[in-house]
Order: sequence, then structure tokens, then C-alpha cells
Amino acid sequence: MPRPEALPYARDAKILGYINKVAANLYRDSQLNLVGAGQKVRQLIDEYIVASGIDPKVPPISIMDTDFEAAVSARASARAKASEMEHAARYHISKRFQEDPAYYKKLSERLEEILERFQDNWAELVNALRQFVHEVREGRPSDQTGLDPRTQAPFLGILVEELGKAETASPISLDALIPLTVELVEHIRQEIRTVDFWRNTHAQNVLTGWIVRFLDDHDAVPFNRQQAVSDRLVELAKALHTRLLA
Amino acid sequence: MSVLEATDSITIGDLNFVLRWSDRRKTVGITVDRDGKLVLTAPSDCPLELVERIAEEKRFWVYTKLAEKELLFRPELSLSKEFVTGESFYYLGRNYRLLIVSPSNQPDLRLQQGRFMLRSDIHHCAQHHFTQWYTQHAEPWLQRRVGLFADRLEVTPMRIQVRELGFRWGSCSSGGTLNFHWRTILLPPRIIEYIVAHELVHIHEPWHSPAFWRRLERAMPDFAQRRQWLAENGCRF
Repeated sequence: MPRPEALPYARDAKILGYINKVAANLYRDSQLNLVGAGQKVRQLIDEYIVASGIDPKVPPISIMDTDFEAAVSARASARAKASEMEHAARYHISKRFQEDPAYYKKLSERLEEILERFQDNWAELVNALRQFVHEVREGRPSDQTGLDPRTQAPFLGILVEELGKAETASPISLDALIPLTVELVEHIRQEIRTVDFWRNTHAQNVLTGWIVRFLDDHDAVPFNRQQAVSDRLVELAKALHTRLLA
Repeated sequence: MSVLEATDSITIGDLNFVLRWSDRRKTVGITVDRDGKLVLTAPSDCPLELVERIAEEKRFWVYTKLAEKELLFRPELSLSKEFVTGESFYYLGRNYRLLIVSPSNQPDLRLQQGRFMLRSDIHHCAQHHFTQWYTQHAEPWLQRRVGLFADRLEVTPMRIQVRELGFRWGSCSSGGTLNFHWRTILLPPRIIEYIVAHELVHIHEPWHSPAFWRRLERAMPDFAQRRQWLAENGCRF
């Protein structure tokens, strides 16, 4: 298909295209593509990629996929297995981060720690990552707080994070935060039920103000952090809107 | 700076482009200037027919940009002020009339009883006095707003500076110093708040990334409306 002068380079172009696609799949990076290549060259490369067993139209496997384990096991080396799990987990965390910032921040820190600890020790890294991926797939576990891990626990997560940040000993205990979270989420639910709530600046300001007063009344957060924490809680409510009203 | 060889102009349809040839360029580029002037820059070895064809292809884009410009850039609204009694001047989004008063031991320029009062003996450098007056009044006002937003946006207050900033309302240096144009104090307070919040968020996020807008929206849910207002009406001030 290409002009005869280009034939010697066809093989290299194919290999480059293949590496490009595999890297894009591994890193979940759609920016990695050969847009610069002409239509004919791209068609040539696509044919080659399909022939090598990768369908360019099928997105890389998700960590939540039931076949994820099999896809990882299909990789030849321990290093490739570890890399596949690492990037799948990273992508998953960054996609879901807004839904539960406190939990996913912790997961992200754990992942970095695992990668740091088992540096260069591929076999052990694979084992540690298998365990980690298993946990990620389970999602936030329901703990002894008795809160719903999908709707209430993310809000508690933000408050607990603040508790950890406080420089002085906090006047409120972790146990006392649990009933506060329940009340807070219940109020947020009622407020955001209003039609077009997220396009109504005034209603959002009223809700933020209510949360500031609520946190202040119960001494849940130090005074200078109340406004910032309220903003974060409202932002989380926006991310969880459908879940809260389900 | 690119090396310019020659400058002439070409007309495509009803669009008139200033054509610039440059030895250093590798591609043809079209720029719509701040005042709506069209500039076509091309590599010196590019044949004229090709330049014309590219400009022809990009006509739709040029029209969209021009329409946008027409909405946003209206120089007739920012006519230069004359310093005579009755001329109006903005302060915090409101208009105040100017009154030329006879020399006395009062300050050179003051805002009193809803009037800017300018002494007639310093009339020749009135613009300078106005700039100075705006700068003086902007500083404490902006300082207070920065203080109000600092906790909320999780930044520690830093130095602010009010000065001439050319075509920008504000800027944030990597050292954390906030600069504001003295003209910001002419705008309505809720728009100044937007500029303040915008610059404060830059301390966390140096670029206008999605994370930047998310953080701004967190503290100011209606930032998009304020930004739009500023883009459409900012040239009036």
C-alpha cells in the first residue's frame, strides 16, 4: 500500500505503532496516539495491531472486570504483571477520587508505599499488589462505625481527616463524630433534593452556611478550618448526588 | 521575536489579513489581535497560493473569533475620560461625578458627598492623581477580601501589590505575591471577589487545569457567571 520508497520503513512504523498502543493501554493514556500519522499509515498500523491480538476499539481492562485476574496472569513476566496491576489501580483511584476523597487518598498512599517497599523485588511485589487489588475491588469496607460505606462513610472520612490535621488536641472524639455524620448527611439529602439545586448558588450558599454553623455548634472542626471543610463536604455531596438520593 | 522580511496584506472574501513573512517559521498561523486585526504569518518559502488556501479553509474559525471579539472588545465603551465637572468615574462598580473645586488646603482628590472633588490647581495631572487615589483605596479593600478568602481556600495570606498590570486584572507570582491592577477597584465588589479568589487559587494550582476550576468552584459555586460578566463588561472600566 505505501509508496515503494516508504516500504523499508513500514516494519518500523508497525512496531512503533504497536508499542504506542500497548503503552497507551498500560498507562491508560489516550493522549498516546499516532494522530500525526497519515490515514494510510494509521490503517497499516491498525491492521498490524489487530493481527497482534489487540483490538484498538476495546479499552484496556478495568480493575473491576471479572476477568482482571486472568488478564494479569496472561502477562509473561512478574514485572509486567506488577505493572499492569499498578496502572489499573492508579487509574481506578484517580477516576473515583471525587466520590470518597479520604478513602481513595489512603489507597493511593498505600499503593505508593507498596511500590516503594518492594522496589525491584518483582515476585513479592506481584503478591502484595494482588492483595491490594483485591481490597480495591471490594471497595470501602463497612467498619465498626455502622455507617453506610457508600453514602455516609465518605463524609465521616473528611471529618476524620480534619481530626488528624488538628494541631491541638481536638475536643471531639471519633465516636462523637458518627451521630454527627448521620445528622449531617440527612440534612444534606433534604437540601439537595430541591430541583436544580446545583445550579442555584443561593441554595448552595445556604447549605454551606448551615454546615459551618453545624460544625461550629458541635466543635467538630477548629474555627479557621470550618469554611474550607464545609466547602469540601458540599463538593462531596455534589459528587455523590445520585447516590444520596437513590 | 521572529525575523520579519516583508509585510503586505491580502484579502480573502471580506476579510483583510496583514501578511507577514518570516524566515524562522515552519507553519502558517492566523492571529486575531485584541483589536480585531487579522494577522497571517507564513514561512518565507511558502507559496502565496498555499497561504491563501489555508486562510480560506480557516475562514469559519476567523468569523467565530471575530464575533466573540465583537461581543467582548468594545473600545467605544472605554473612551478616555475628560477631567471636567460632570464627567463620571467608577469606584466599586458605581458611578461618581467629578467636581472641579477651587484650590484649598483639602487633599488633591477626594470622594465626598457622592462626588469626586479635584482641585483645579492640579487639573493638568488629573489622571495621575486618579490612578494614585484608586491604588490607595484598592490596597486595604483587597487586603480585607484576601483575608476573608484565605482560610476558605486554605492558603496563608501573603503580600499583595496594586499596580499597573497592562491587560491583566491580576496575577500571582511563584513566590506567592498577588498583583492586582489598580483598575480592579472600579469593578463591582462581587467581580473583584472573583478576581481575588481566582488569584488565591493560583497559589495551589499554577495553571488553569480542571483541578484549578474545581477548587475555585468549591469556594465560589457561581464563579462561571462572574467570569463571564467580567469578560463581557470588563472593557467598560
